[in-house]
Amino acid sequence: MKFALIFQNDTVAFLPELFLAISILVVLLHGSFLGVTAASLHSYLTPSMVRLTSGTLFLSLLLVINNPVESQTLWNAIFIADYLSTWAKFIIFIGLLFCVSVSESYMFSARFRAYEFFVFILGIALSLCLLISSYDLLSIYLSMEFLSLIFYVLAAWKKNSYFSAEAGLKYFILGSVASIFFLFGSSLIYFSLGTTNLASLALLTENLSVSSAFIYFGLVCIVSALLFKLGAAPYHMWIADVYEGAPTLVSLIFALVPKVAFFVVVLRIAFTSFWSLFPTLWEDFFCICGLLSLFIGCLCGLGETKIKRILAFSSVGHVGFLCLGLASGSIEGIQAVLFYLVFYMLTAAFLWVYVLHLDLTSNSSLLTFADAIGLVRSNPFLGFGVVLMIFSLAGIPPFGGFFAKLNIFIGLVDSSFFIVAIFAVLTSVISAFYYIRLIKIFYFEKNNNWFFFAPLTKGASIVLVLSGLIIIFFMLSPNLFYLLSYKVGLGLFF
Amino acid sequence: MFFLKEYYPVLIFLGFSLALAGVIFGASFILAVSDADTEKLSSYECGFDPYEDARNAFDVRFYLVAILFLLFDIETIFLFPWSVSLSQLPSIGYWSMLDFLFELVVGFIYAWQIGSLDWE
Amino acid sequence: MGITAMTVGGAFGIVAKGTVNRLMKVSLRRAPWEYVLGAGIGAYVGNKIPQWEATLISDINEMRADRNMPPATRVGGYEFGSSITDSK
Repeated sequence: MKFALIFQNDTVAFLPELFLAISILVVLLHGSFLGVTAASLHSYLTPSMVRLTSGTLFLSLLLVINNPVESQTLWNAIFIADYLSTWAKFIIFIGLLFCVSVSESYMFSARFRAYEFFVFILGIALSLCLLISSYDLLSIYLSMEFLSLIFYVLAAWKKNSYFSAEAGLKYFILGSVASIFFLFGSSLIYFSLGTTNLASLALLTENLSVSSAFIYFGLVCIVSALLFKLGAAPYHMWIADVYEGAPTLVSLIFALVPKVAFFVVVLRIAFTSFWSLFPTLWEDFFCICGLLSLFIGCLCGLGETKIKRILAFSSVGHVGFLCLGLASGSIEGIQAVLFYLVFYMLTAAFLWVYVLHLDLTSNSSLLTFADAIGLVRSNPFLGFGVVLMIFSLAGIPPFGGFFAKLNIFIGLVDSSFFIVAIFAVLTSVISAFYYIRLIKIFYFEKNNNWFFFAPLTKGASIVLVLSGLIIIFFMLSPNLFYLLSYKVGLGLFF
Repeated sequence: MFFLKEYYPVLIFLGFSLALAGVIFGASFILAVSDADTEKLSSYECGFDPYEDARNAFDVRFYLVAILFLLFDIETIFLFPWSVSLSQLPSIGYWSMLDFLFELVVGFIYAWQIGSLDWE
Repeated sequence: MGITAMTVGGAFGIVAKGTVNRLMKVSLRRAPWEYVLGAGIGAYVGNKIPQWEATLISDINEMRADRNMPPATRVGGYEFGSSITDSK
């Protein structure tokens, strides 16, 4: 068979995805047979599924790390394997392993008996890997739809909760409209340039002689759709309701993993394909989106009293910072964005695991400030860790978040965006208020009732300790993160 | 818009359909005389007053059957062009379709095992 | 050789296991074999990280030479040769 030889390299480079695809089928069948033969309603599959899923994700992580293919396009230039994709897949798998480790106690207390949740997590891993490796507008669209369909189902998982149904419905409708815009934009790009492959687009738009209105409009549609999925303003309205209504474990997955993948796609489109459009299109576009996101993230977070919504609006603000890092358009900007993404994921992992821990014993389905009182008396280590992470989010030195924001500011100032940088600093100061308010509530508020927290499981503690330790390790020796993000960013330019 | 001149018939068709739909709908809206009172608007139940609500709870089994039909029907649709053009494809064409069918068979076994094919 | 890096990594691992116990609010002496596991993983990571950083520096300079850029002396907030884990 000649085709086995032609696609040999591609198969070797795609081993993580092939392994994930086959393991999805195997886990699906395994769960269905096991669940039925053991007198269906009395079999509890979640511990077995947790171990199976984390084993699969770990093996895929090993496959990704030991990928022999360094930098080449695969499968007729639809996919690519380069440093950015390896780094991003590594981050995604670490994030999903975090999610799976903390899932067991939540699934037990929220009475999620369906084991298909873990098949969906493997499906998320597969779709994110495909999205990260995509090098063609159509494969980006297909992977994005794969991911979004799984997310729509996960957001509506709690069958007897109106909030969950509302979250799923809103996410589905708005997300489908965003995908429609993506498809429309890629059809306009195809109409004006004749190809959808990102490398061919890079060669075609090398000098600015091909600048018609269709290209600009198509690109605005495409990147708007991607920014919608990230939750940047002015497409941020769904984030608060979906993060709050979805079950907390699902919100954890939403907050951690898709941002890296979508930023990889935006980086590929903005820096590899349409790099020459930077002075005319991307600077203004990303500056406007970034400033709007910062503005909305800091203002809307001030008025919120529900914890999940505060974290949702803080994620809007952070996406704003990342957009500003993209706007600077230099390799320092890309390095800042990639560096910030790592720190944002670790900090978000810690905080969302804390929210999950609160959610296990709260009486109502909505977590407000009243549930956060008393953390320090109940679990002083956890309280200290949360304080560390909140300082990192707010951008207070010497924690990691400060250096992440500092890199973004350096990139902005190097590209002479002075007023943008000043505005970003001002909004950062205003948003620091609602972070520090949480610390005030932990430490200084008195509760009239007895407070009761569930004990932390081993998986949750390991996640918390790992993310905390990586941030502390950063404080001692930051060069690894700088070098890694620089090398990955350099691989984008050719 | 020189390169869109092949689409002029589509534009004319669009105009025609809008005009026709507008005329039909608008004529009945403007010209019809309606003198509504409660007796004319209430639901008909052989001359009696309606006993209870005419709706009943929707059985979700029908929805499940529709979804399963949709999935396997799309699979069948994909089989048609493949079977017609299989003689001109190299062996990878055959194995790709078999791989696609295999994945759908896995889905079928899953649906069978968890009992969604049972009508009760 | 990286003895200091390995000891620091081992210390990180031991502290990690202690913190896991404290977060779960059990005694520090629960499951003491995991301290060995933590110290081992920490020492391994502490051994690998300086090597990884040196590989990254040479990779970056090689990629920059491919793209006709001069070799780098600083990467963002990190000046080459200024860190304690550097081999120079």
